[in-house]
Amino acid sequence: MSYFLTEEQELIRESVREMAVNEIRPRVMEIYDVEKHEQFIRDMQKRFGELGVLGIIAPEVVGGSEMSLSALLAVQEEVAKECPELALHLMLQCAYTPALMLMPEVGMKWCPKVFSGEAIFAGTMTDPAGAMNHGEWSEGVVKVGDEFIINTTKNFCTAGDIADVLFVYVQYQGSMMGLVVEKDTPGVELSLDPTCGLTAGFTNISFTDVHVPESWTCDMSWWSKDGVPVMGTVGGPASTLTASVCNLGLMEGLFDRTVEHCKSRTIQGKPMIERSDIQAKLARIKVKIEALRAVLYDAARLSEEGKPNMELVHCAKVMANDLGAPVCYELVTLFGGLGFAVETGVERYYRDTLGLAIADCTTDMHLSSLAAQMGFPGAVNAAF
Amino acid sequence: MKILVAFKILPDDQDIRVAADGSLDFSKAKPIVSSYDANAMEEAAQLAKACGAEVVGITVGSSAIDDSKVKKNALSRGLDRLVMVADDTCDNLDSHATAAVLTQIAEKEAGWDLILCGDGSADNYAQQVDVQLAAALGAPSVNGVTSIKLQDGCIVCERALESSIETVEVSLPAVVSVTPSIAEARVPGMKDILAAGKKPVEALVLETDLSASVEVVSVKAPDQASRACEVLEAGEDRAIEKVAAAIRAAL
Ligand SMILES: Cc1cc2nc3c(=O)[nH]c(=O)nc-3n(C[C@H](O)[C@H](O)[C@H](O)COP(=O)(O)OP(=O)(O)OC[C@H]3O[C@@H](n4cnc5c(N)ncnc54)[C@H](O)[C@@H]3O)c2cc1C
Repeated sequence: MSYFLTEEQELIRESVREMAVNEIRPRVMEIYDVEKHEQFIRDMQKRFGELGVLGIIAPEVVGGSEMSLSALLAVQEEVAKECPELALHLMLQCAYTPALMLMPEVGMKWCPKVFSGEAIFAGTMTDPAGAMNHGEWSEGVVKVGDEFIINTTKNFCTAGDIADVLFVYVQYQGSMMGLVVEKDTPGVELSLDPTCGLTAGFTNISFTDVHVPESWTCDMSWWSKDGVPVMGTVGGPASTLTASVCNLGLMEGLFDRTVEHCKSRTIQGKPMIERSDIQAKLARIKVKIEALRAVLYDAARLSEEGKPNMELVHCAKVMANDLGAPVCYELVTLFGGLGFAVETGVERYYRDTLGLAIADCTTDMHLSSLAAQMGFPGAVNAAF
Repeated sequence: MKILVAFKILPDDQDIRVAADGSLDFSKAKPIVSSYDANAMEEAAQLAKACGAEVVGITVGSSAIDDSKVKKNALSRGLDRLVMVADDTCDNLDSHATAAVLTQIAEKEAGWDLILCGDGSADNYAQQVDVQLAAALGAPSVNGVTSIKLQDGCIVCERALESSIETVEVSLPAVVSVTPSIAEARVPGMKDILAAGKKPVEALVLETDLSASVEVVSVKAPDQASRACEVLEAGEDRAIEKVAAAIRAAL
């Protein structure tokens, strides 16, 4: 957690910590189970709604509490310690759902339901041609009368299989357009894509003649025009920082477990934690975790103060992406064979960190955006 | 109706460090609400919801308990307001002295109907304050209560005994201590937390003559036993007997 949280933010963090340890920890393996993940996520969504954290940065008119981005990061950090995927899920519910407000009718209908924990939101942008390769996306929608008809395919949508409301990004006349589709709309076909980590609900979605009224669409050419993303990220600093914090919490969760393990496991009669080589290894990892935390919360604070610094935002995601795998490698191997056994719930952190390094764009994509932010010639914005 | 909840604020045991000589370092341990008292707070909040009562938290301790975060934490658990005595002469009070100061607070809170206490404090767990408080106030007292039903001028309490459940009708005002199972302590949500900062807190000046009946000589952690690391082969003949013999030898 940040050392700069206010008392209220700190109390919210503590509440979420308590909930995560008592309610998420005992059931966490359900998220990887095709049969159980929906019930698990719905139960947790309901609890997050009861705690009031889903609308933490959203406007009050739609059931939000307009608190700070730092508070949201602290919430996700605690959740990610136990279940990184749920923290990623929170990114969508908390930082992306407010995009529904671009269509007032849709926002007023769905935001309160999502923020109360009654409904689940998902956003599907990634196209078979590449998530940010907008110039090669096929024209996914046509206008007929006062309706739009979608015919396209989307990949890798988090919780797409269980979402009640889906935000779809398509190309329309060379620009980005957003459309909203409700669960069970005719023409929407879902297929789960087994992954090597994070969740059972990683979904490919095909849209065949899906009808959407014009009032359920919005122009997003301010973000992507003529096949090229305009500077900035689609959700501003909130989207990228809420993605980055998942890897921070993930590393901390595994770190805490590893320290406990090293206290109780003995080598030649002595607890592992008393060995100086292991102490140095853990201390070095602590340095990495604290460096990421500092950049992440600093970027959040600047954004809250109305001075968003997109360079720092991209730095945070690059650090989160790049630190996760090497840190998990060191920590998982400290468990020896136990680290590789699924039942111990340790190796999943290593698998999950790979997914988090791709979700919300890879390091190379964020480096390209960072280069663009720094004004390097020819550099393009390449991360959402 | 007015319900008082007597609760203790104590250092978070997760952050108490044990030094090599067994002495305890509390400097990193932030003040928290004693865990069993959180159940009493929740029960009070639920009773209040059912009958429209006011719930007032009452507590006593050193000046360290006058901590804005722990006060908000307590107030986010269903209390309407808080009355406290925070005075360094009240550091580490024994049960008798604690009950004496709580009596002072309860007498100031005229018109109370019910005082709820937790099962015991999470540090000493002496289970004495509730009965001594009741005696000082001249009120009936019931402990080990697992459920409370409000009736006209009285409450009906259930107590889980070893092999039976006892039902007791108690006239009000009364002092009741409750078991953790009576109500699961809430995880405070955003609304609880944001509202807590706006609730009134009153600090009373200590007017009670404190005479300690217990003198604390020292508090030390028990010695850590070193591991014998004796591993016996499960496949060996008479392995169980060998394990039993090894345990007997070690005791
Ligand atoms: C766990 C997880 C959850 C996800 N959830 C969602 C979701 O909810 N909704 C959704 O729409 N998508 C989701 N995705 C998809 C994710 O956003 C994309 O996979 C990611 O942005 C990369 O895009 P791509 O797969 O199309 O890769 P490609 O664009 O095909 O990238 C291939 C390679 O090229 C590099 N590259 C691409 N473009 C550039 C560039 N301009 N500059 C430099 N290098 C570049 C990449 O770094 C990568 O190494 C999720 C992915 C994962 C792993």
